[in-house]
Amino acid sequence: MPKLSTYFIRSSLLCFAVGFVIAAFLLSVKTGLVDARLWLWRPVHIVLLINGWFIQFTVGVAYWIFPRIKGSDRGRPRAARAALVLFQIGVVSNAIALLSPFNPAMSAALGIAMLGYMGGVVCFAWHAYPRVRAAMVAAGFKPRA
Amino acid sequence: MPLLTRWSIRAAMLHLLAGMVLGMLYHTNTVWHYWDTLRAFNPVYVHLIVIGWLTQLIFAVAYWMFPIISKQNMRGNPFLAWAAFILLNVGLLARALFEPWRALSPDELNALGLALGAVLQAIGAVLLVVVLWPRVRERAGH
Repeated sequence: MPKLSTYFIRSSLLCFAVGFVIAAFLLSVKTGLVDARLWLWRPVHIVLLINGWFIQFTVGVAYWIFPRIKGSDRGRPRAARAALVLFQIGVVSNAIALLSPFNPAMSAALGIAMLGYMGGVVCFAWHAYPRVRAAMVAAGFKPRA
Repeated sequence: MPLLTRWSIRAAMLHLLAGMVLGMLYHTNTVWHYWDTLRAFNPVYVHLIVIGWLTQLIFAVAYWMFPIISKQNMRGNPFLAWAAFILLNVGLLARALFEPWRALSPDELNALGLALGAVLQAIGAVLLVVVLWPRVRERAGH
């Protein structure tokens, strides 16, 4: 497993654990045992588990498992490294922005989050394209000149 | 494929089936209104699919395929891995039972059951991370 995948997957595991602990508090709100204001953390729980857990885990495993172009050539690793940084910025700033009911100034982080996500997706696609294309050519697909 | 992976994938498929059937019933009911009780199953069917199916399938396959720690201690402590599997499933089933029940007629019993489900799932999730963390490594151990 390449080092970059370990970073993606460890980050996803952290998001998973934090997202699940928040989930336990959210469920407890329904029992009436804890303060109902904790329900305001629900969007953070969703972001941590979808963008932080599922997406980062799949991207990390994709970087590891996708077909390599030749030998250990993983296409454009710098773009994949940029995707890791941008995803981290996206998830953290999105979580901060979603806590704006506690402090309205936090909503400004949403713009940074969206740029982080979009940049992350574009960078990962830029890295993966030559790997997918090389695999398709190896399987007999003839690209247009 | 390790025994835990086989059981985990089987459980994941059952959760998928249950989640899809409940989701289908819930959504058709929003259109045709044939059984009012189905309205209480809204967050539950999503969690059956997202936790019971997706997360559990990820855990099962990662437990099987991620690089081993060493030849003597291939996948870490199996007791912790089985505990993660059992707690996640029991917690999710408790939630699937008590959350709709509480939405329909709240009482102390279903409040307790729901809190128990929440705690079991959270402990199961933390154990899952504890089990997988040392397997996220560049090279398999010797």
